[in-house]
Amino acid sequence: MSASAPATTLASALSEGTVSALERARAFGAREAATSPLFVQNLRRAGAEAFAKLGLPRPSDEEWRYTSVAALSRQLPAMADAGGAPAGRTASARSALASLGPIGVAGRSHHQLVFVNGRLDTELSRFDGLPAGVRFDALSRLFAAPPDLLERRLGLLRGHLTHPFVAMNAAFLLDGAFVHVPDGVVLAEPLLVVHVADGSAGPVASHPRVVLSLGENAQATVVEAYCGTGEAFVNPVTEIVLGAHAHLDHTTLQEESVEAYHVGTTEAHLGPGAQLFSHVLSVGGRLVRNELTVRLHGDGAGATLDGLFLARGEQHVDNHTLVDHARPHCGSQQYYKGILDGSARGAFDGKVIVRPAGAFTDAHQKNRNLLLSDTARIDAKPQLEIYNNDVKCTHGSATGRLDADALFYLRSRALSESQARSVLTLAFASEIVDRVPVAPLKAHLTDRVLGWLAGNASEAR
Amino acid sequence: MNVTTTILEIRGLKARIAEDGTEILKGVDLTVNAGEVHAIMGPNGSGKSTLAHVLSGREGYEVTDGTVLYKGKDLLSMPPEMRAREGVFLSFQYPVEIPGVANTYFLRMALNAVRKHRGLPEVDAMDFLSLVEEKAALVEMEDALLSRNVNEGFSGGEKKRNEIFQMAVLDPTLAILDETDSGLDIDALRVVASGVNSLRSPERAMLLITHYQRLLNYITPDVIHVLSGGRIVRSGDKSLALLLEEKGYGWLEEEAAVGAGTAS
Repeated sequence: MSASAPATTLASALSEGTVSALERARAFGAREAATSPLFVQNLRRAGAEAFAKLGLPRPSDEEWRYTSVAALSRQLPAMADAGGAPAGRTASARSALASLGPIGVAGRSHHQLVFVNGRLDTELSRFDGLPAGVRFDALSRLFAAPPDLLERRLGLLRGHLTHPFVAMNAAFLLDGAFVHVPDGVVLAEPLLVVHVADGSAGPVASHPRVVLSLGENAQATVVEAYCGTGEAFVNPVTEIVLGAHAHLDHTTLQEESVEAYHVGTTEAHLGPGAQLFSHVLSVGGRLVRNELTVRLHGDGAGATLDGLFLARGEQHVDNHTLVDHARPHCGSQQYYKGILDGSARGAFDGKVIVRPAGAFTDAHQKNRNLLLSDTARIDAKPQLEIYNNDVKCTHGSATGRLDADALFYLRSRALSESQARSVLTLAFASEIVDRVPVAPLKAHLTDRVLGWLAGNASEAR
Repeated sequence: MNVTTTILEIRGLKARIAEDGTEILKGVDLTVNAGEVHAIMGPNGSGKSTLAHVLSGREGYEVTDGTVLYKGKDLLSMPPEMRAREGVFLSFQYPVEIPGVANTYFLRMALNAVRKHRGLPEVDAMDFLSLVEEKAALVEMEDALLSRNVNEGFSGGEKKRNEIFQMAVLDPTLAILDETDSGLDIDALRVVASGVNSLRSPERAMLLITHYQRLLNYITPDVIHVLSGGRIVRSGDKSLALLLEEKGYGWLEEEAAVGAGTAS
């Protein structure tokens, strides 16, 4: 389909997009085969075949009810494949990293993997100096002599067979991060995985894969940051496996340009007593979908899922969660918040399933949204599916505006109306921001919120 | 030689509730000079809180007639924040809880907004800290309350202390205290009243709005006004409060009704 083609129906646009993507996936697989181990080649093939069958989600698909990918499917054929990065990418990556503030490249004081348009940038990355047995490396560097564990973990969660975007990610698998913390090792320092989507030399599609694996009683903090400029499609897939009593603090920070499409899918499997604290934070992007599935597959596992997004203009942000209570004595707390201005659209679709074996489940889901304009809109769909009677589950969603009494209170103490609005909006965000464990990241987020608010105020003038 | 400076001059103020048009204030006249403390008493529904709200610029009321001059300037044309910057302070009957906003962070913003308006530089962090310590002591505010979110989870007494503490930091020219005694036990009342008393000064005017005479046992006003049916029906010295305590408001309301009948 070319840009000059006559207007087509949505259905034909979707199927043409699918066909072209399949051809491209096959060409991509052939190109990369020589440098990839067999299990990676197989994963790509399986992903391409599944994607050919699944196609992109349609508006009639219940899981995609609030988010249309029609615009993305029109843009996809014009996007270059990952790996075909523009020259001088390190320079543009540096400036994109600088936008991450203190958690960016400044000083390279911490361990980080930096990918530019889906491919590792060795100059900006730092792998060395981690405790023995810890793996923190790029997939592309491991493909020559892949560790057994990578082969066992990559694609383990099998989303590439059922989920269109995970299938597409598998089909175009090029690079990404592999993190493994062995049994009993506690990493104090956060590990940073940065994906820069640089569309300055034309739109680029990238499909990063992140594989996180923690052994028994291991502990780690991992931050995935997505930033960049220009038009891009970023389709990351993160697979997390936590051994018994492992602790993972995982942050996804998404602040790509407002021309970017970001469809991220994360799935975590928790063993007995394992704990996951997830923070999903979105500031950028034209269309953002954050999908998070947490499977509590070991007795006594627990997950805390925090989310916050800021959207304005024509941005669209869709947070999708699924928490699967498959074993007894598991707990989950979800707290997702959205702040919308302008004509932004948001969605929160959160589901908790308690399986028959999920006795003594303690599951809570909370969704709060703040509308700063009359034209912003949010769709919220909290769902509980419970197949065991011995459980404690709550859920609730509320959407509102800034509290008029609080605004007046602040103004009666000399704050201007815009100051008062900023203070209250920041306070709304801070409940989530304050729970981010990495101090520089917390500071960066506060700056982001303040900058966002200042931007809104200047737009309104 | 004494030069009297008028801080607040209300003339023929009429106001109604915007939503349903109910007239609450039906012609209020009041003059408060620098250094004076005036109490406005009155039964429920007499318009006491409406007067406080109209003076502080709260939305939801329409002024249909009359003028309010604050230091000679038209107060009613100013947005709430401008009134505050010019030195008007309202102590809320029901202070608002603001989750996520730390007390001192908010107060520093407020103080800087006032200072900026007066052409002063932003307050230095160390100076602010010592100012906070000094003023918090006036109302026996614990340190823990200072760093907590504004009024969040505060008891009734802690909220009112926080109001007087804010007032002390912002150093207003006109303080309007709306039902500051409501919801206070006797110990808290004593602390709050002593805080207010310590803020009495020849440059400052205060307007105490209260239903009960109780507060006036601790803060002695220069003048007491009785607001009834949206008008000030009687003014006098502190003995008027004792009379009200003894006889209630009924006799004044009857008198006002008779007076109104005679006038027409």
